[in-house]
Amino acid sequence: MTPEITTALEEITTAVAEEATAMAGVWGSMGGTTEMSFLDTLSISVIGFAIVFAVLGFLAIFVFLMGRVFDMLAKKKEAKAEIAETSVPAAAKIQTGFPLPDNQGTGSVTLINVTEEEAAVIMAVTSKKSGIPLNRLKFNSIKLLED
Amino acid sequence: MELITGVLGGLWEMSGFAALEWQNLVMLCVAGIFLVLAIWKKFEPLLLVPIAFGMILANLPGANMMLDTTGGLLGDMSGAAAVEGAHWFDSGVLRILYVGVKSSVFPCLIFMGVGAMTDFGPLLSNPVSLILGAAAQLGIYFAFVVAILLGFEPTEAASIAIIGGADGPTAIFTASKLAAHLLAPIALAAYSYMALIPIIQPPIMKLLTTKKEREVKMTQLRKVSKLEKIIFPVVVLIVVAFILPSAAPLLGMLMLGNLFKECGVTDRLSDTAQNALMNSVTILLGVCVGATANGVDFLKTQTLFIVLLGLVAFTFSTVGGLLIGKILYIVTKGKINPLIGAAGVSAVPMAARVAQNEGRKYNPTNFLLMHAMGPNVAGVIGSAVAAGFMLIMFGNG
Repeated sequence: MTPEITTALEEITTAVAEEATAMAGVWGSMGGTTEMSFLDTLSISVIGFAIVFAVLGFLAIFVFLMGRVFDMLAKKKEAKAEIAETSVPAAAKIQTGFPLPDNQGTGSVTLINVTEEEAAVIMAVTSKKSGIPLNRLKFNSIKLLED
Repeated sequence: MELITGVLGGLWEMSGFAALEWQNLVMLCVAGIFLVLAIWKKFEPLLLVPIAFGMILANLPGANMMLDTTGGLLGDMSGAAAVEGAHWFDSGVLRILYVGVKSSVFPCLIFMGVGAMTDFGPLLSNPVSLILGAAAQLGIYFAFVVAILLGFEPTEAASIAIIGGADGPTAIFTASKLAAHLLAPIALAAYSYMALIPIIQPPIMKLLTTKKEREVKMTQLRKVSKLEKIIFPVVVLIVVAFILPSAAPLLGMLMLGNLFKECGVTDRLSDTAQNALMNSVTILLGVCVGATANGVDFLKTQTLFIVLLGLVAFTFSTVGGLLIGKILYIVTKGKINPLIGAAGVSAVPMAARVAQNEGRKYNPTNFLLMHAMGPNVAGVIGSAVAAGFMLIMFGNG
């Protein structure tokens, strides 16, 4: 083999090796080639697996802490709501807390020349005709018209 | 008479029968088996039907549906020269669609749809799911070592190993960047194994867990607030992309889709991502992946190795998840059912469904699905991180 051919072959080999290195990321920048020893392969696998664990482990810790903070905030909110509920007057609670049966109502109505029985009938008829339950209707007064 | 024989002879020469190779026949049979599994056995029909049909289309002799007239610009790695005077649009229709696979556009869009369909709630309520998702990437690194021992180059070994992540889009994304010439068998193996999870995983689950472990009933998950679900995708993307920028395209799309779903003000976008877009891209990706399996290029010893390595990767990923599941079972004094570890392979939601079904076999009152969804979606993040690592190690970042 002439020296020219030997030099040319060496140049080609170097060029091919450089090209492989340029395409091979971190492995290439470390001088790695397409030939990997068993030890290198094992080391890269272990590092890769460790990185997956580290990244997901970090996220797990973040999620855990975030959960704790949100749980704490939710508990504080609940406690505040409980305090607010207990401070509401008892009468208001009764008014809003217990829905009355459809055929009952609360409050008072002024009766003018009308008996209680007549007023009860009028209220029942109004409820029946309008389709609105008695507990949703409000009567201020019931007055007998003279003519 | 001469005219008749000339016409008939010409027709015969132009017909598929004259160009038929035995490899095409084999692949048509494989496609037939896939169709039977999908239609009658109901094995992931949404994936297997388009893949199988793509295989049929690619193996019709003379149809040239995967013909690349550009000499490889559209992803044909067979080394065929460009057809003189032909434009890119003279290529086969499936070859043109294949650009979506080759450019990683389809895998990224699929990830957006997956994100829009994913509920990270089970993961957020049980952060240990992330550890199970990490453990289930064991198969990737095990298969990488075996592939190198079998003589594959590092870039090829890394691409093959990602099959163990049980994530079709991630496998395609990695292979297209590191070993485009192996894209076809890798994509096909990844999607086939994803579809065959109900067959592959149960025997391993049974082998590695005791009856007592399989019967464990897990306690109810904590309620996760809307704000947590909004913060999570943004933080995950930023953290992972800062550590491994190469994982950003996949995780970015996944988390964008998830943010559409969780933020509550982009319902229309979320609906499109998880239905119309997802279905359209699934059809295109499935058919194109199937179409890469042309018998003449596909039936090689190397393909057989890839398919076997994929199975090894898949098996060891399941083993990794189960083993950490067993450790957590001991650490938590029996509060974690190790079966959910197997769901750490990221085929969503198939792997979680398998854990649920296996759990119910041994305790009919058991309901593991939501618990298994945590490791399952963690596995998606895990396999993207593993792919990002491989791309940084052997690719151009």
